[in-house]
Amino acid sequence: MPDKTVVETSPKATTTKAQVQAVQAQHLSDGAKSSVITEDPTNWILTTVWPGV
Amino acid sequence: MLFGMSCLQESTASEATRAIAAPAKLAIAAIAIASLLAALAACAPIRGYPDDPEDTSATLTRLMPYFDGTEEAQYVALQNDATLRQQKRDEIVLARIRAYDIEFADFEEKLYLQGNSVSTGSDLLLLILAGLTATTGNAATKAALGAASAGVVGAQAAISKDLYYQKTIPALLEQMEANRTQAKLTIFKGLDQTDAQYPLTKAYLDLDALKAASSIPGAIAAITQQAGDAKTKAQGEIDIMRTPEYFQHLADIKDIQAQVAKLTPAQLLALAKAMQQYLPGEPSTIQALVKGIDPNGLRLSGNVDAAKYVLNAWLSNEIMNAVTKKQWSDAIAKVSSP
Repeated sequence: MPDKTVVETSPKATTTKAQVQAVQAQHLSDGAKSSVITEDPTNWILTTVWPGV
Repeated sequence: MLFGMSCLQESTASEATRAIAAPAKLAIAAIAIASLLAALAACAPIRGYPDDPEDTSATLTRLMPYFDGTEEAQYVALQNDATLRQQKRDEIVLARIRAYDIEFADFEEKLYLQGNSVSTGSDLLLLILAGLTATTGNAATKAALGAASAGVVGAQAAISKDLYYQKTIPALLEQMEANRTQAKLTIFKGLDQTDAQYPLTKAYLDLDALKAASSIPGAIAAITQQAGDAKTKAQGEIDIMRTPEYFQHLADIKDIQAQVAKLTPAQLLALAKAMQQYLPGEPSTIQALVKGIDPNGLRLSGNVDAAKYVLNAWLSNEIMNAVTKKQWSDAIAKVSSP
């Protein structure tokens, strides 16, 4: 089955990097294939790949 | 249809009547054609472009040495003077860009005018003429009616083609402009480099790309590519804008997950089925995620691993508020009860 990629964008104005890291850890423990944090000037971007069953 | 009816009446008339009627119909046809031409002329489109004070034909003629090898020979001869050679390179490249711009502006204007006028006016005229010819002769009524009908169908097709064309031209022009801007950017970046780094031969390749960027096939290819990319992105990615609410309730998610972790395989399968009723009420992103990772609904047909994994992925992205928390808690309580 094809993987599904979820891109979560969180404004830096209301979210800390630690909060995004907590979600990243959560996704990985829930079975995500990968979960990577990147950023642009105003947002944290968490890109997670969920494998299909 | 009118012509067809006219012909039907005529088919029952005597030969003498036909002899008189035929010239009369030809006269009517001539008046109709003249009226149509007058109407087309009256509907001539606004040009849309101001008059160009420059004699662009003369300019193009003056630019010819930059295309016929004359200036290139001078560039080659300057191999021992890097500064002058670079200046000549820039001169040749900019002159060619100028020529391409002139040709493109002309092409763009013609395309705009074509799209803005009844470009298939001639098609319509031919169809009407064909219809008149068929219906004013001595052919059988049936054949005449058929020809008139074919004429109407043909006219409708011509109008549809014209409208589609008219609506498509602005998108093509916009894409061509975008493609040209991109191609020019590459060239100007190249011109910032020395001749050794960006020689004329390399610039020619980029100039060819600029020329191709001005074409309709180039515009169509770019638009098609963009549509394909958008479709792929739409199919492959789920975009979520996280709000503070999601982060505030991470602890609740973990709490529910801890309860799910204690369930037996049979209870997990039951929970997957129990939660299915709430899926339509979830955000579209969660619906897309669940459907994306379990498109065949394995979690609902006895696959314990699929049930556990999909429930965890769902929970991991859940917006846990009072309503969703109660749904999960109630479903877990229900499947856990003996």
